[in-house]
Amino acid sequence: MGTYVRGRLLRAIPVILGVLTLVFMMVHLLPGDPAEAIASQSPGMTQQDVQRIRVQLGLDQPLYRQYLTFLSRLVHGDLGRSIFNGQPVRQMILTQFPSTLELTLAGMSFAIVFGVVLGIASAVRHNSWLDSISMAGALLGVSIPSFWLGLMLIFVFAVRLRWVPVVGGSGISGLILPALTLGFSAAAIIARLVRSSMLEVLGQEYVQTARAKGLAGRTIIVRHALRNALIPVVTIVGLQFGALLGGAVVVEIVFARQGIGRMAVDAILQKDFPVVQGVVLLAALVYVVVNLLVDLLYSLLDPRISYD
Amino acid sequence: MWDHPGLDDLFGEVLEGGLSRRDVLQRALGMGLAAPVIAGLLAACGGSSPAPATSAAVVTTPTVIPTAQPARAASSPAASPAATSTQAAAAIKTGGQLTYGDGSEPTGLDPNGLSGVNAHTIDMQMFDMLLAMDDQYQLYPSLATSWKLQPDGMSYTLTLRKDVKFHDGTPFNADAVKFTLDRIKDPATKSSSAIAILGAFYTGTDVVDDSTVTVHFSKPFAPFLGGLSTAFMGMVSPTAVKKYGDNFPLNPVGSGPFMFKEWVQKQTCTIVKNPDYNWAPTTFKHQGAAYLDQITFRFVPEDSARQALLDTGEAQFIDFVPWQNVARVKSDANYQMLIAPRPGGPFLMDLNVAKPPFDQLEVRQAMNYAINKADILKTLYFNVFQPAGTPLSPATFGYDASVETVYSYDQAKAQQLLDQAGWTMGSNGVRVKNGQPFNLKCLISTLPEYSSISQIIQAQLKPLGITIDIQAIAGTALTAAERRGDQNIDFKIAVYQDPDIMGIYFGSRSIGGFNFAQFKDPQMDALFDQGDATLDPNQRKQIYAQASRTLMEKAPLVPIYYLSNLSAATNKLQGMFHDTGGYFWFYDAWLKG
Repeated sequence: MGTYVRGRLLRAIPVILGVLTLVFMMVHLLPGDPAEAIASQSPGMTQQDVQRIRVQLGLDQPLYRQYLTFLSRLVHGDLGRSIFNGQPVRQMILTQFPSTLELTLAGMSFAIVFGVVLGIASAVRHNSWLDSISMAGALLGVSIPSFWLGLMLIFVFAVRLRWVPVVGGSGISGLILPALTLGFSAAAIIARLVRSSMLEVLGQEYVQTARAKGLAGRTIIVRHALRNALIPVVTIVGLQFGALLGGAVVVEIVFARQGIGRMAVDAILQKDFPVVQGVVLLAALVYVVVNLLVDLLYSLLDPRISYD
Repeated sequence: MWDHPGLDDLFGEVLEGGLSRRDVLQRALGMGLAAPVIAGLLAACGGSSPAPATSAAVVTTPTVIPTAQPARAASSPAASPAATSTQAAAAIKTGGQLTYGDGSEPTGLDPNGLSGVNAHTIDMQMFDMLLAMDDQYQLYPSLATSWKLQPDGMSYTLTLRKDVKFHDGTPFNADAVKFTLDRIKDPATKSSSAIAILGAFYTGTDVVDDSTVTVHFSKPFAPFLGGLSTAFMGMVSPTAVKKYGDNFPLNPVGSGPFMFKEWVQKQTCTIVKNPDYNWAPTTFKHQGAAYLDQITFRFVPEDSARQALLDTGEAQFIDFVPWQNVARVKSDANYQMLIAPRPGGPFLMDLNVAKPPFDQLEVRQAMNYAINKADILKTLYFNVFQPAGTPLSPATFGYDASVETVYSYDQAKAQQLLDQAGWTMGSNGVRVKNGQPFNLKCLISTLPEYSSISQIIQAQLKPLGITIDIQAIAGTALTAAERRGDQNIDFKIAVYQDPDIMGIYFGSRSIGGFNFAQFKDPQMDALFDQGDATLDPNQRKQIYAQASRTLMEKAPLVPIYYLSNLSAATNKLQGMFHDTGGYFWFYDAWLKG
């Protein structure tokens, strides 16, 4: 196990390097030079000024040298500073990430609980009204855009019913609507997957054996069927976690929450490249870690899967 | 690295009398200068005579900036100090906290630095300026009690208040003024707007005594005084700047009626009442501390969520109200809708005269009869804005209401003009002339508003036998294409404080620049030149009224609507009013119980 984890972490290095290289290239190959972007913020900048900024940012150096500088800084944990407010990018991320993480975890928890329960219920009561309704709901769930859902939730629960504040409520009350919005489509996907996966498992011989042994229906479903049905679900949850990080961009804007999603959008609009690079690096790291966790979960769920 | 050689040159040429008013506007616009800066430049731009026309007498207060700068023609009731002064002082309640739903978060709060316009509303509550300006562009004392242009015409002596302290206890004095001005000039400050106001010729400040400074320029520099009243020129605490260094934009310290408390990025910025404040300029209606205890700027970028904040009472003031909500806010007795008309040009459609079909006058005129503006305003803007019939908005100096009626919506007339021009209706419902179909290429930006408006016009012109191909282009590529005149039609709007926006848009010298219509007409050019050179306000007004009418008759454009700034507040919030740029002061504001 330890060897496996170590191996996986080592293999993550080229992945992260690849992402970093891509991000770096993005900055340098996309139209719109950061120096021009800075200059456009200030009146009366001439081409000479732009050139001076370029020199100051090191953008006049050959690309390979800039790349090496970028890497060597990174190795020292230096992500650079925001072009616009001079704050260290590392500090900005540390300030904003907890809020995004909180939102993503809350959204994911909602999606898992809601999705798994609905999925099991639909599978057990296959072709019943419950099944039809929850699967229709799941179809809606994957189709509704999250910005629309967020606004509707605000309208109903904050403006009409006044149960929660529109934005910025502290603690749980401020987290409910954003988490619902964020987790809704993931819940729908998980519900559909759990349902089909459960249906398949419930038809297998070992489940019939358990039934024949006279085990209680609940025990069969939770202990025997669900555990095996969860393997494809875990894969999807892992993938969805990344999707939720991306979805946080929209949710953070609609609900005016802090977070790296909103920070990334602002940074892209302002062409604050060090910040964009920092956020992309973080997202890549999260993906790598979540994927590793998913693979480790497999072996927990299915003893036949072993990494030794 | 933050010097502005372009600006240096511009100021230089202005003051040498080498540039006309139009040149200044044109080049300043190209540089993206802030409106107050341009107003200041215009003040310096005394036709062909060199600038020191601002003769060296003690300037008694109030005074008028020596320019033909317009009084704002129209402003919302809430914006007018007169309207709010009718409130009985006894009714004013002190205390309470205001939450301001803010559509855009600033990057920093250093008024002198690289903070941009998003910081303006917050900064103006926290910082004091040396001078104050009312909505008639008149100057009043603020931290400076008097000001005097020295006989050399190149330096100003300012006498300062002696009773002012910054929020950190540092006394405001001559040293602080020198520190602030020198700091703006220092490239490390990365000043964007303030450096443009202070100008390129600032050579330094002499501390005459503790409450007197003399500010020196290497050339006569008239825009200085007007610029001193803008929030970009807020006086900063030297102690705080030294203490916080690069982090000053996140820890601003001024001497204004509100003090910085906390900024939670991407969420809120909180400022609290300065209990010691006792030096308000007379442009405000009271003295002493602000009525409100605290203002929280809550950054909510999404329009509907910001509106919801007002509905639930989580905010008492919001900016950038979406059009579709204006009627509801207006009809709700709990709210006040704050509509501030913007000066400049209307939202307009350019007709490219450089190629067929708009090389023909009748066809251009036909377009002015063919487009149903009322329909556009109703469908798209929920009748929030007013239909436009002139090249200048009503809030602009030189606007002439009689020009509105040069055209009216009249499809029959449009058909008749098109027939007259030789564009006959083809069998497929599209007009043709010399075998060419009446097809227009329309270039628009990727903003949703532009695609909606172009589609409505597309539908309106179809029955007349006109087809439109709409192409949306992102970013600077659009402007480049428009400058070249690739299109038949395009849309644009400018918020601008001078009627010469007409010359910038339709003067022959702007071809390749902002004259996307490629319009070139000696008669119009002559009128624009005359407008540039005339200093007498009444005369100038007449010239622009005539230019407006003649331009409409020559029809290189179809004006569509007049833009306004849309903010909303609960009725409980009283006493706030906006400055010439449309930003709200909250020093006089109070919340009803």
